[in-house]
Formats: sequence, C-alpha cells, structure tokens
Amino acid sequence: MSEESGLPGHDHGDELARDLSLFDITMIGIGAMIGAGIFVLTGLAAGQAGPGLVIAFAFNGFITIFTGMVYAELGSAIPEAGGGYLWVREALGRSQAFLAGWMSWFAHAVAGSLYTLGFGAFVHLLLTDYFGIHLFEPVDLLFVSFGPEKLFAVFAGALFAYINYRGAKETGLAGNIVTMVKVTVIIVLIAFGFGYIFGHPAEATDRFRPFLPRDFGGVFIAMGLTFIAFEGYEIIVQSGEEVVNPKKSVPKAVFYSMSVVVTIYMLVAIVLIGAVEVTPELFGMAQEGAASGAHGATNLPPIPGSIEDAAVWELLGHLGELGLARAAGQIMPFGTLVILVAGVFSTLSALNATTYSSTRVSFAMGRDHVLPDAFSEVHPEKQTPYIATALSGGLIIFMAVALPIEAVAAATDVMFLLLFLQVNYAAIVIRRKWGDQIDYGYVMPYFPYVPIIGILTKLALAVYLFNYSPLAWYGAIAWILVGIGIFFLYSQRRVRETEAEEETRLIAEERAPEDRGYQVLVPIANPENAEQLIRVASAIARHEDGEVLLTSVATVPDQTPLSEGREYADEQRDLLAEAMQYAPDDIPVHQTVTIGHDVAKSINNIAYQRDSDLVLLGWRGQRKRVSDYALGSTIDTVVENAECDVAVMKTDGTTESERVLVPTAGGPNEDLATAIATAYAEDGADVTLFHVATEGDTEQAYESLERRQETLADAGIAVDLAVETRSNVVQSILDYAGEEDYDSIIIGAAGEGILRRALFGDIPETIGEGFDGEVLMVRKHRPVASAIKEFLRKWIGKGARATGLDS
Amino acid sequence: MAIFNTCLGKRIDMVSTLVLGAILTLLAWVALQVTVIHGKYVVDHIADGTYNKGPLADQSGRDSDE
Repeated sequence: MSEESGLPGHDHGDELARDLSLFDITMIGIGAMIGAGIFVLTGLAAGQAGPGLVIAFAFNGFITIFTGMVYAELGSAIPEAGGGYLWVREALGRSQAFLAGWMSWFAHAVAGSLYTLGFGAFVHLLLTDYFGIHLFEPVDLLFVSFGPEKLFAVFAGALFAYINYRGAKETGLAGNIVTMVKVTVIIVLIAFGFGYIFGHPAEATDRFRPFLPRDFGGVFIAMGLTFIAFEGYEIIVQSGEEVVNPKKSVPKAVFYSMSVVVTIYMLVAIVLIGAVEVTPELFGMAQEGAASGAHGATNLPPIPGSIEDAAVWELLGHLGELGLARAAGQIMPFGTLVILVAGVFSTLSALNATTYSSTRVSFAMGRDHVLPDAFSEVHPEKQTPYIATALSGGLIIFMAVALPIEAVAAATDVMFLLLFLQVNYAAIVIRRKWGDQIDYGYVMPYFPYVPIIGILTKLALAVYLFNYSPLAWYGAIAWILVGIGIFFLYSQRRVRETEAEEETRLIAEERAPEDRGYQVLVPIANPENAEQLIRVASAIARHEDGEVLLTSVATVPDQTPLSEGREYADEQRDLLAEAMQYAPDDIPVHQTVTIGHDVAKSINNIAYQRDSDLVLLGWRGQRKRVSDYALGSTIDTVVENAECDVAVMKTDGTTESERVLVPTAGGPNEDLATAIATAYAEDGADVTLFHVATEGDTEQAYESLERRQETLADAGIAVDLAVETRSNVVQSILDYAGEEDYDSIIIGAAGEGILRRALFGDIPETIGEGFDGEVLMVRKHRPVASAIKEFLRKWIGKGARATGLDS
Repeated sequence: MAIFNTCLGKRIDMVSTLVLGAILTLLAWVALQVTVIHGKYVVDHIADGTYNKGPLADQSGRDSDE
C-alpha cells in the first residue's frame, strides 16, 4: 500500500526504530492515564459527584471508549507520530488542522499548568507538614493570589522548559519505572482500602448514601473535570511509529489500557469514599482549605457547621488537589507521605511529557508554516526547537499563575474535548473517502454511529463544564478566537502558499521586459482559441494599464511526482510559443508553463502566486446537462475557487468585436461586465447597455441606465442604451442581440446564495449557450462571501479538504 | 408514625439510588469490557484475514504489512 499522495499511503520519509512491544505501549497508555490526574483531580471530582464519583469514572470510561475506538482504528491504519493533528490535517484540510493544532498546543500546555500546580501543592504540603518549613503567606498580585504553591509551580514550569531546551528527555526505562511505581502505589492504596471496607462493611456502605447528593449534574461535572485522565490513547498512537507490529499492537494497547485504567479509577473512587472516615483532623483541614480557598472550592457546597453533618466527599472536595493525599493518610500507614511523593514524581513526569508535546505541536505548526517560522527554529547547538519551547513554557507558567487550579483543569478538559470532536469527524471523513484503500488493523463497529456518539457525548460534556467553570470556557473561547484571528491574518496566506507550491510547479517562464500592476491570466489549452482570448485579454489589460500572463498547464498522473514531470511539458511550450504571435506590441505579455496533477487547481494556484486580477477562460459553449458540472470540470473548479475576478468566454473564433451588448441587472458583477465592455469600447466597439424590464418598470430602468451612461461619458466612453419590456429575459436578450446584429454579449453573473451551487446563474449560461457569437460571462471576486462559502462547504458540505487528495 | 414513615421513605429512596447507581456503574464497566474484548477479537481476526465487515468487506486478498 504505497501511493504517491493521500492518506492511504501517508508519505513520510524517516522511519524510527520499531522496538516497543505491546506491553511497552500499554504501559505508556496506563502511565499517561494513571498519571498526575488521579493524584490531582480525584479530590476535586469527589466534591462534585459525591459517592457518585464511582459512576462518574465508569461513565467516563464508557463514553471515552467511543473515541478510543476511533483512535484504535486510525492508529492501526496510520501508525505515525502526529496522531489526531495528522488525521485532521489529512481529512479536513490545513485550515481545520490549524485549529486542531492550536487547540492541541493550548490543551497540552494547560495540562502542563495543571501538573505544575499539583506539583506546587504537593511540595508545599511536604515542606509544611513533614519538614516544618513555612514560607510566605499568599499575596495578592493584581487579580490572582500568589502563594508558595504557585511559586513552586512557576519553578517547575521554568525548570522543565529549560530541560526541554537542553534536549534531555525522559528515557523509556525511566518512564516505565515511574509508571510502575505510581501504579504500585495506587494498587497498594486500593488493597489497604478494600481491607478496611471488607472489615467494616456496614460503615463503608453507609458512606455511599446518599449516592448522588448533587444529582447527575455533579456526576457530569466530575466526568468533564477528570476527562483528561482518560486520553491515554492520544499518547499511545503518538508512539505508533516505534511499535513492533503496530496494526495489532496499537489498537490492543488502546483497549487494554482503557480496561485497566478505568477499573483502577473506579476502585480508587470506591476506596476513597468507603474507607475514609470523617475525623476531626480531616474536618479541620477541610475547613482550613475552604477558608483559604486555595484548593479550588468552585461550585462546592459550604462545609457543614458540625462534624456530624459532614460527609467524606464534601471534605475531599474542599481539600481539592490534596484530597487523595489526605485521605490516604487514613487508608494506609504513611499514606499521605507516600501519595505526596508519588504525586510529585507523577506530576513532574507528566509535566515533562506535556512540555515536550506542547512544544512539538507548536514546532510542527511552525514547520507547516501556519505559525511564524520562528516556532520551527532549531537551536544550532542544542538541536531543540528553543523558541517553541520558550513560548510553550511561558504559556504553561502564565496559565498556572493566572488561573485557579480547578479552572486550569476545566480549561484543559474543554480543549481536549473540542479536539476530540474534530478527530471523530475526521474518522468519518477518512473512512468514507479512503476506507476501501486503507489497511486497517482494527475497524470500529456500527460506523458512523460510534464517532457520532463520540462527538455528541464529548460536546455535551464540554458544554456542561460551563456550569462548573465559566472562566475555563471564556479562556478556551478567547484562545480559539485569537487562533482564528491569527489564521485569517497570517496562517491562511501561508497555508495557501504551501498548497500552491505542493500542487503546482513552474517548468518554464518567459517574461516581457515590462511589469505592470493589473494582470489578466489566460490559460491556453486550445490553439484555435488563443487569438480570441489574447485579443480580449489585451483589451482589458490595455484598459487597466496592465499586462497579460499566458499559461499552459501540463498534467501528470497522481502517481507521478511533479519533480519527474518536465518531459510532459514540451507540448505546452510549443502551444505558448504559437500563441505569442497574437500578442500585441503595446501590452507586456508574459508566459509560464507549469505542471500539476490537476489543471483547474494549477490555474488557481498560478493566479494566486502571480497575484492575477482576472482569469480569462475559454469555453466551447456547451453546458453539461448530465454530469455534476455546469460548464465543465476545469471551468467549474476554477470559477468556484478563484481568488480573483473571473471571466469565461464562449470562443467562437470571432477575431473582432464591433457591436457589444451588455445586459444589466445591477450588482458588482454588472460593474465588472461594464468595465470590460468599456475596454471593448476603447478598442473601437459600439457598446449598448441593455435592460429587460417588467411592466411599469421601464422608466425607472431607463433612468438607471442613463446614470450609468453619464458616468461612462464622463470617462470619455460613449455607450447606447436600450430597454425592452418582456417577461422572458433570456429570450428577450437573445432576440435583441440577434435582430440588432451584435457580435458579442458581456454579462455579469446572476446573484447567488451562500449555499446554492451557482457558477454564473441560469440566465447568463443559457445566453452563453444560445447566442450565436462571442459571450463573456464575468464574476467579481468577493473575498468575504467566498470565505463564508468555503467555510460552510468544508464543515457541512462536502466535508473534505479542499485540495490535494480529491484527485 | 409519620416521622418513621418519612425516615423509612428517605432511606428506601437512598438505597434505591445506591442500587441504581451500582447497576449503572456495573453496566458501564461491563459495556467497556465487552468493547475491549470485541476489539481484541476484531484485531485478531483482521490479522488472520478472516474479518470481512465494514471497509474490509470490499478488500480481498490484500496483504497486511505488519
């Protein structure tokens, strides 16, 4: 399965050594999921769900397996580093990939912020409780409270940014050891907890009542809050290139790790609620935590006034990120100390991974030219992307300082949930477009319902998190808006340049001695039409004081790289050489021969690269009645995607236009038609502005034409006017043009809806087909309308990337 | 008697919520495990070339590049 382009044989030059076994990547997944999340988030989540924390973890496991299946399928089919970002880019195009990468960068960075805050809290508690070292009291800095925990968080963020800058990253062995240690600690904790529960079944059961003290709303919030803990499949597929037998190992690792991790989380929840007693000490610490507000008391009920009314989950909620550690003190000997130490290692290990991944995401975006090139700059000595590292580190530290821990956790979850929406959608597109070409190692059942359920459940969780932390949503929305702004102001242009370079290659170019501002691009495919096209293009260029660029596109099969296609271009060179005999002396006429896999895309790419103002295409004059195309596949594609004005000319061999009819109906397209007609008039043609009026509309129509006539007269152009009153517009124009012996009609495109597929509209195209002479249909480029249309088409229309893979 | 009934009703309510929660938890967990087992089944059968559903229904005689 090796194809030149497109997802099925996704092309990547460098292969990494395949030395990771199924066990290794299962451990990587487990390590990522039983990482810092369980140490930091369990207390916060218990405060939201109460004893229902167990069901929150079970439900989270259940709904995340839908996206897990998507990752298993795509990870088995395309086992490459890049994961979700890569699939979104291939399936949905670079614009959506930008959004995916932008969100992914933020998600990983904010996850890093969460771990730095967890680390800071654990270290601070270790220092105060076990070493008696008390640092400063929290101080208010503008709108945030800055305590010792945040100081340690800043330190950790800066330290790991520096470590990543130095290039030292966690080795596989060290990672496995850390994973084994933390899993062992958690299993020991579970064992002690169940020892207590089996010894005191009545008390333990009682602590689960009421099971849902905050109803299902609390469960949903806890699910959203801890969702980050279940995204290990993203880490697993990132290792796909280094796995032995990835088609089997990657999906199995996704499933095995999910099975183990969800079970462990549920057991931890059972132990946390069932084996922990409300002691005066725990009650006092929770009161202290609630009073200081240091542990994320968002959306929590206040601590009951007396210890008799307090439930364990309420206290754990107010203990926040220290909830598990405090509870562990009751469950096993030295429990708090053990959990704190394990938590410190876990958070640091997770911080290293998230700093690394957020750096690599922004680095990849820089390399894809959607972020400034500085992001992809590699330090000459350290060989690391130092600017991306510094900016990612800065983002991690800023978010850790600026936001409270629960808002950081919620913002991370929102971003990952939104990212998974795109991945689920990409999976649908990939299966539909390339499903029959891909070598799958696993295929999800009930397609496309599985990814659709994945989309709906993740969207619901993300939206529901607004109830918990509006601040997190505001932050996420602000980040996305900034991203969209950057995309439209900067990245879109770079994306377009990259696509144009990938799709079209210049073979030969001959330039006239002079360059002028306005440019008419004329693709030449048929030598018989060259004279007519060059005559009209030259007239327009003369009118605009511009130039003409003739181009001819050689196409090569998809399987042939563009670099090998020079031999296909001889015919195009001869074609342009022949066409140059019609070039007038007073207009600069340049010529280029290009090569591409698709003529229409190549024409649009040339127009974009050369900043053409108008593309003039020839047309045989026959509409397509059976196929999906209106005028032809090439013309349709060029017109629909042109990033400049476009004109399609029915080429009948007319060598001179003496009488030109311009049917008018108002709007920007008519303005363009009139401007081109003016160019004809300057070349000596008689131009008539013509309007077909309805009953009672004649006088008003005539007045409108007169105003236009006066404007043209001011510019030294004389035109005639004519108004006819008939119900059949097309027939009226055709009859009038025929009776009055016109040899050219220039007509603007009819209005079009945003979602309606229209090239020039039915009236111009029917006239173009029906008139026995030269017809020029013109359409003005409207960037905003085109952008909206393209956006809608990508998201709810064809659902596929605009360029590159379709062919 | 009324107080007793109220307390009893509340207790029954709490117990039924607990039971319901336990059942839902168990169901979600079992569904996850079934998906995992099914996933392993699909992976093994695709590797053996004996799985012919979904996109693989149209693919025959293709070699896995494992």
